[in-house]
Amino acid sequence: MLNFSTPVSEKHSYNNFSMKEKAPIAKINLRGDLENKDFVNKIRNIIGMMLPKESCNASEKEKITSLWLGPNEWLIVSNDEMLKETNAYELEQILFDGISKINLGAVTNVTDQFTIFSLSGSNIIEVLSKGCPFDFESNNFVDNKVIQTVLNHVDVTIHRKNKNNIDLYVRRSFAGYLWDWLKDSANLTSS
Amino acid sequence: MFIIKCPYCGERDHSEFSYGGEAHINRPKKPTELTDDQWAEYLFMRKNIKGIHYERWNHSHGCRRWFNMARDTSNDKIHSVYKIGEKPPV
Repeated sequence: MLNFSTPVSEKHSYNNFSMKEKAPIAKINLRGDLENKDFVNKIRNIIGMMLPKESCNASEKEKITSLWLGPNEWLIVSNDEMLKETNAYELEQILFDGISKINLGAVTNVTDQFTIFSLSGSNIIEVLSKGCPFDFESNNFVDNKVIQTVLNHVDVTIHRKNKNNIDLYVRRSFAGYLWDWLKDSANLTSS
Repeated sequence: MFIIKCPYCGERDHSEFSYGGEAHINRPKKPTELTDDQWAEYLFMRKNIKGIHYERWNHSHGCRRWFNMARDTSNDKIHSVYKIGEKPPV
C-alpha cells in the first residue's frame, strides 16, 4: 500500500524551470554482493535487468529504474505513479521472498522515506547550483547519472534523465523545506 | 575548495565527507589482559604528525562508504586514496 498524502503535492512553473512532486512512487532499497552469482542471477530473473555496476549510474526498463547508491546498494524505483484503485505493489514481496528470505541480500521498502521532485527546464542546473557543491559542469554529469550530494544542507539524490529533466530524491521530512528553498532559488534565476 | 576523490564516486567537494581519525590502528586481541596504560595508549594516543598521515574518511553525504587516505597534514595535499582493507601505499 502506498501513501497518498504526500508532503508537497504542488506544481510551480517559472521561466525555463518547472517543478512538481511525483507521487506515489514505489521505492525499494536493495543490498547485495555483485560477486555472488546467485544474487546476480536472481535479480536478473526478478526485475529483468542487470543492476548498474558502474558507480553513479542508472539503468532503466519499461516499468522500473535501478539507481546505483553504493558498491553494494541500489534503489529500485517504479517508473509509473500508482493509481488509487490498484494500490498494491507486488515487487517488494517478490524481491523479499527471492532475496531476503534466503539471505542473498537485503530488501527494504523505502517508499515513504523519500519523495521525488521532478524538475524540468533549461534552468535546472542554475537553480540547483545555488546550494550544491557538486560540479554540474563536469564531464561526469551526463544522462542517466545518479549523484548523491547535499543541496542546501539537505541530503539528496539527483537522477539526471536528460539535459532538461532531473528527478530529485529527498527525505520526506525535509521535502517541505527543500521545496521552499527551490522556489526561492527559482525566483532568483527565472529572470 | 578542497576536492576529495572518493574511490567509488569520484571527485567531490570536501563538505560531503566526514573525517574518521587515524587509520590502521588495530584493536588489541585480548583487551582484558591489558594494563590501563596500554589500553589508554590504544584508545587515545595518536601520532599527530606533520607530513603524510594515513587516515579514515567517510563519504557521508554520498555513497556512505568508508575509505582510507594518505594526506600531507602540512599542505593538505592528498597523495592517495584507497579502499578499506587495502595496504597503505609506502
